[in-house]
Amino acid sequence: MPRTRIPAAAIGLSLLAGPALAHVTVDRATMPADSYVRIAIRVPHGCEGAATTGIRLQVPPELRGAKPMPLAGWTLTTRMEGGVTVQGEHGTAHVPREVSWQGGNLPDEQYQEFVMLVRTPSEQGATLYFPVVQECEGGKVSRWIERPAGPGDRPRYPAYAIRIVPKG
Amino acid sequence: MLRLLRAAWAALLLCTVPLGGALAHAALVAASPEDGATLAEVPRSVTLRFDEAVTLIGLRIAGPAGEVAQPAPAEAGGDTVRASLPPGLATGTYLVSWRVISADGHPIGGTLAFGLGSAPVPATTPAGAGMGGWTAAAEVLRFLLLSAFALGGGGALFRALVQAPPPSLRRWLAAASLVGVVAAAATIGFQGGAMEDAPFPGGLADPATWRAALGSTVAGRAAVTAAGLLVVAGSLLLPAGSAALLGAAGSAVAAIGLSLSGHAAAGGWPVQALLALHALAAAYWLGAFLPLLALLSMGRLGALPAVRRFSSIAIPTVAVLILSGAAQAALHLGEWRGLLGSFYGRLVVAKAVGAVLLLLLALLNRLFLTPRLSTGASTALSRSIRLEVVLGAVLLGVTAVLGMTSPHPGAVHAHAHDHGVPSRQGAIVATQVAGLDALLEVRPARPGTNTITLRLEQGDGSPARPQEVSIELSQPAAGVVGLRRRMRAEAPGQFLYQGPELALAGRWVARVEILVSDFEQVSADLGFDVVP
Repeated sequence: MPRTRIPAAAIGLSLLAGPALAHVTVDRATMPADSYVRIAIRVPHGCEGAATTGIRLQVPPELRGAKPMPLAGWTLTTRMEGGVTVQGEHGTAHVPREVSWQGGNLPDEQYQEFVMLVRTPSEQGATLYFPVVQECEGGKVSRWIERPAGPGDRPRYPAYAIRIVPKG
Repeated sequence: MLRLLRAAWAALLLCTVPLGGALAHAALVAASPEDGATLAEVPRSVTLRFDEAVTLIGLRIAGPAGEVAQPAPAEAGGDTVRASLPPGLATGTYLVSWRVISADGHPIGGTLAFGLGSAPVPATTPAGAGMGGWTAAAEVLRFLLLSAFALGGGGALFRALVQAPPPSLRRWLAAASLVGVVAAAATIGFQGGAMEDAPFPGGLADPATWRAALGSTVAGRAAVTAAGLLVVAGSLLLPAGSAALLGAAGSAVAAIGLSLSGHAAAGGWPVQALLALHALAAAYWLGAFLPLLALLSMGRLGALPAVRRFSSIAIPTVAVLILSGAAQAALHLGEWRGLLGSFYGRLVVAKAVGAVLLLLLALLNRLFLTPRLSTGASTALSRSIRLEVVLGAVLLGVTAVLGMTSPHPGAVHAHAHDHGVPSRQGAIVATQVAGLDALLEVRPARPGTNTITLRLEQGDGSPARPQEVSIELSQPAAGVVGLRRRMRAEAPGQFLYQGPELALAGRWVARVEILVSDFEQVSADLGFDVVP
């Protein structure tokens, strides 16, 4: 019995110890180079209490592929203009410039993930930014799009950053 | 082994957490009074509601008289924080700075501002009272100046265009012109007093008050007007016939001087020319009353040619007067609804009504009383002209107040703006952000209502056109953080916010957030001082 409590305690502790910034984030901090990776945009709350009705992501131009996963109750659209075209082993691939899930309703006290499959750059070392615009009821908008201006800068609405690490 | 695995899993969980971020922190969802609200009465309490239960760390309220002593400590119950306010708070802007811990242990804080009383200006700044004295005095001065111009300038025009008034009257008219010269010069000191917020009227004794106004357009106008009236006075004292033309020229100079500042100065030279024409026409009409009365008193038949000559020139003059007056009213008011909706509009209506009454009297004179001159008595015409003199004086009074009133309802320090206050009354800071040149201007950079202007230019000098600009005002030393406001696009590359948030003197930091495009935002911190 005590054994099962360890993870539970760890979870409880982890909630307290977390950075508690409550941002819209992506579920991983690093991605291996030259790989297909499933990532999830995590939406932990609405905009100042208002329910979320739309999530728009600007796909990092470094990605060589991005396929969003449909979500019941949300209309999925991709915007191709401005996106990059990549030559690959399966022919030419077009990467969308923008992906959006709209028309849903996610109350402030509920949680949702918006999932994509992406193909990472072939080289390691880059840091990719995932700017997200969160649209909410009543015309409220939270833009998770700020990039740090320098070391030590902690923007209030940061765009989530993922580092590309060596494959394997 | 299983225990080891579970321990490892627990350790792993702990490691991954900082990367992920927690799922919630508190956000302020409602406040009473609302941020930015203006209240007529002191609210009994300040209430903040969050989207989850919070623990209060601290709540401070600062007002025009410094920090407000709360009758009871602020309390947090569930998702609500409530602080009570003492009764009888002074009029002004209040800042509520709060800090709470949300359920996840993360401290968050913010500030909201509200104004008490109709005008959210701090009570400690005597600006309102001082300005009132200067403004009223300036209106009286302007009335004196306009009357002197009508009497002297109008008399000179009458002499040049109709007939020379008797020498005794000319001396009186010259004296009136000299009063106008003194009034014009005094305008400079009174403008300086209003600009410097100097004590009324003691500030006039301070040379600094006069120096302050010398740089503004008022000084230029006063100088030109005074010079014109001086020429008028001199010409009226000279008996030679050629002095008549000199007097007319002096009137024209004085009229130009009158048009150089005030609301017309902002409109460019066509508006100024319109105003100068308006002033000249008014002077011709109003200034003719006294000479006409003097001529009538000397004999009705001798006066008849002068009356006829005056009246034939008066018809096109009145047309010019009405058209130029209407054009100016339309320019300043913009729309007909503005007529009764603002004090300025009501003044314009009052002036128009006075002008119509004057016009009716003039028609009566021309159509009925002037023809009777050749046959009957002149007393009826004299009485009518005396009534015109009274009406004319009232009209000049309304015009004087009109000139000192802003056409824009609710404009703060409208006079200062219209009369070109030097930019030292404010703070200006510049920076570069992401290839944009940003210039932030805060006026007057004193506690109370301030106008914050942000100019954004691209490297090549063309105006930047961001989607949206917000400004976040903080005074960290006073615990005021994060008064975030959207700036209004005023012109290409120019953004404006006007509000009472800068209620405390000291060093403020403005964080300017520029939404360049949907997914791109840049920001810069700009520091400036608000001086008491």
